[in-house]
Amino acid sequence: MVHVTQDNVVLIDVDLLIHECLRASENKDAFAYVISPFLSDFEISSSWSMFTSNVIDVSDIDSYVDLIGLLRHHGAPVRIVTRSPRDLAENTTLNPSFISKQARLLSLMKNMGCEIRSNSSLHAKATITSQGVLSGSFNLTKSGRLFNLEAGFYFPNTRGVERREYADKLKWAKELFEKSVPLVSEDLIIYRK
Amino acid sequence: MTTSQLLELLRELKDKVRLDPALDEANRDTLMEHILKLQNMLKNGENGISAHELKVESEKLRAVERRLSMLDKIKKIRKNRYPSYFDDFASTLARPPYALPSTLYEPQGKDSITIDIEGIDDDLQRFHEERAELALNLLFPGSTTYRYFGRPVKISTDRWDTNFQARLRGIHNLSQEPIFSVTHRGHKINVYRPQTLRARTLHRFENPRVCLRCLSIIGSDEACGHAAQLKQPLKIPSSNPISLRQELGREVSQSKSFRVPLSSIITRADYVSELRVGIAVLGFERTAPLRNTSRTVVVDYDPPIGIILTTRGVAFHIDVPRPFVDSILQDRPELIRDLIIQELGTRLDSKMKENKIPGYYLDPMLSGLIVALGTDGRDRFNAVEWANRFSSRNWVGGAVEAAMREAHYFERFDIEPSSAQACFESLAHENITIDDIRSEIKERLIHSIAHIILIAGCVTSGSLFNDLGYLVSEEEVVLFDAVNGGNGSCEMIFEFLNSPESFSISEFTEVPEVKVSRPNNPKYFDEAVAELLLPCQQAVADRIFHADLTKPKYQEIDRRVKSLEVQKKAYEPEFRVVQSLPVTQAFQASIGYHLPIEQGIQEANKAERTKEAFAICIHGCPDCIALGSECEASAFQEKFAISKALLDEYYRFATSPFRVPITAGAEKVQSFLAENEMIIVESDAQDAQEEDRVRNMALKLDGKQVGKKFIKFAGFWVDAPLNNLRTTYNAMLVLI
Repeated sequence: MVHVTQDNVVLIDVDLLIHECLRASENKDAFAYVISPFLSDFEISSSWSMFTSNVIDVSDIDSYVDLIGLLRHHGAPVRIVTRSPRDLAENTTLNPSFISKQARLLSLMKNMGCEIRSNSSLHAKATITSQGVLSGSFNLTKSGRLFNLEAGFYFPNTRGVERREYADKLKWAKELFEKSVPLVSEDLIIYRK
Repeated sequence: MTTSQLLELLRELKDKVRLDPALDEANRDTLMEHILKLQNMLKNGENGISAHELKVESEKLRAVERRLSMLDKIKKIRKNRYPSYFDDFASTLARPPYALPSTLYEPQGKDSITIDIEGIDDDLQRFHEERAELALNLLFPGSTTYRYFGRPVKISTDRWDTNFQARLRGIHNLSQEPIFSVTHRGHKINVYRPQTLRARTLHRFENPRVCLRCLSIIGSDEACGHAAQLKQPLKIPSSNPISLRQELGREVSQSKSFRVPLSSIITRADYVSELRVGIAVLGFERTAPLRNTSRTVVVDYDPPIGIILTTRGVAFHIDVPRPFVDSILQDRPELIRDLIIQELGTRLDSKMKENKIPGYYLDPMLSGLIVALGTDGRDRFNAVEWANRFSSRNWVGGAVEAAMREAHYFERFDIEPSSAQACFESLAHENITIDDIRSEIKERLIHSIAHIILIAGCVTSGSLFNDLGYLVSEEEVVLFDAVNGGNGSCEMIFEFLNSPESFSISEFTEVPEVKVSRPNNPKYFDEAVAELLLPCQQAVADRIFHADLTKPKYQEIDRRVKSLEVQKKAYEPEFRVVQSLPVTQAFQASIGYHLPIEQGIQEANKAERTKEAFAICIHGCPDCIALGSECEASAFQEKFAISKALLDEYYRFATSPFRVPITAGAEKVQSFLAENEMIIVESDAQDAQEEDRVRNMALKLDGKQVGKKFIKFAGFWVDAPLNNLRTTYNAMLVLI
């Protein structure tokens, strides 16, 4: 288990997805659950996306969504649970421009083939792949990944206690995804109050 | 027109002048004087009118042409409603180095060569100024271009079929004095600067007749004495220049180092703000596809032509340690055998030229040599024993016999045994010592690294191969901008030499509202080199397939292995032959037909297919470091100049201080990282779970803090090393 803060959360996030891309390129079982009430894209430092390989090409990755796109390119399903922009517009006092950005991002990810569901009670944040779970206070936004003081844990899916923790978290994520509502086009339209 | 045709014309003119009643005496005398002067010049000059006089006359002609074109422009401009004189006049008045480019993007160099196209219609422009480096790359004697008038124009060489040598001085306008000299095949040769290159159109020949033996283009300035039935209409064969580059001087301004692991391979990079490079074009190679195969001929120039470039570059210092060379000599006999074959190939090519044997017979000659010298892999190779056998010289008869046996597979095979004997005897008088082999190891390695540097340089700077050139010396590779004055490529490579070491939040700016792709996100040079140093995917797939190794499931390698499985259906007997030998034998088996002879294969087609089946990536392929005509050694000689197998060995040797087997455990890996900042975890166990174990090790450590830095998963690759043919998995972890 690794203690996670804002200093290493993106590094682990990127590496988890790269590991997943490797599995997908082997036609092995690969997937990603991305759980965050708020979503925005953020740039990835070139230090994080540098990867030397003769089996997959991880280059031209500028941002987190590029990495999701790479995973989709390798055919791995990406399942997202978040709060819908309509829900945020109607039930929160969040800045409309932030909600618009979230709507645009979700639209982009939907076009990539990500399966997106919404849950108006969502507060938890986690990224779970076949290789491990990254869970903590950090939203999948620029602030949550780069600026805020955050805390969490990373459990690789290896063995022993870590594997048990991983299995519990994966079960939780699957159940959450099942009971959340599929995002439809109307959810991406923002109604002004 | 040849000299004799000109003389004939002048004789006819003289007769007409004598017999013309309308001419008065004064005019007759003047005309006769001019005719006699021209006749004497033609007879007295070694190859015709002196270069100096020709230069003067052509300069005057150019000046007249410019004035005439200026008058044309004035006529056209007068018709315009808003006439502008600047753009049109500047290009007709200015002369190099002040000529204006026709577009904003045309690079402006200061050195130019005139192309003089003879035999064209009057309304077409005869003289063309071209940048010198472009002329030597595309418009060299022997080449054909569609650059002018949309028709094929051939740069003259005259006949060269007798000894595969094109005498240039009588045809083209060259400098009187050499501009520099180069050492080629052990001899020092002077290089001359071309001022005017002569050319002729081939517009009457849609598919000109080409001699299938020597590839001369019949009906142009070339001709040959081979039988008429050998001359068939063919698409114009492609030609490439054979160039040699030499550094003539430099000024270094800055230096940078690389991080591990590259610092073990390239010790330092210097930015050369001024670099003088002599580029000599020694000849050309011409290739044409024939019925079952292709033929390449090599023609030398007499004298070689060239230019001096003043440009910018980056010098990469490479220090190949003696322990590495010793380890190859001691522990890798199959690599040494292949290196020796490569060296013999280069030396034999030279001997064949001296003995007037065409270059396209190198394969059977080298094949005969391989058999006679016991380099065909039948026994375990011993370099010392081999060197002694070579020095004994009693293999010559066997080599001749073995080479002649290959004639069975050729439609026409006209090497005389006596010529082959002379060739091999001349070769036998040269020594190949253990020190020579040591030098070859270093030379092969540095040339292979040069290819990687060139490819990585192109990736980093967004250049094409012809924007950059390279020079190789004993301990250095110099990459340079291949145009006078530079083109910014090397400057960019030096600027983006090393990727940023660590991340920091302050480097980020706001993500834009709409995602805009960032085309200027650079691929740093060190990243590109690190990827190119990894094992070639095609080589790994070839070894896994032919040696029946454990198959990793990665899509790219899996795709290549599946492709080989599909090919096997069509090449079943040939693949059986390949798989009956160790993969390490593939290189020597792919040369000539000694293996089909040994296998008792009679049919030429089947023998050719067997040879093709051995074209496995051992020492380089287009997927890794083979560059074809961009290689300094030329496309024909490239397979004797590089070795990816040796480079892979060097990479393993250079990174061996950073390699840890998976059995060492996670704690050891972590403590190793704390000291070294980089580690490669490797495994070669052959069960199906092994690659997962390697990745799980990397997963466990991902993101862990070590001191003030964090562990990052930085690479994963599959290998199948030649010396230990098993599928291996490697994961790189770094501290950032």
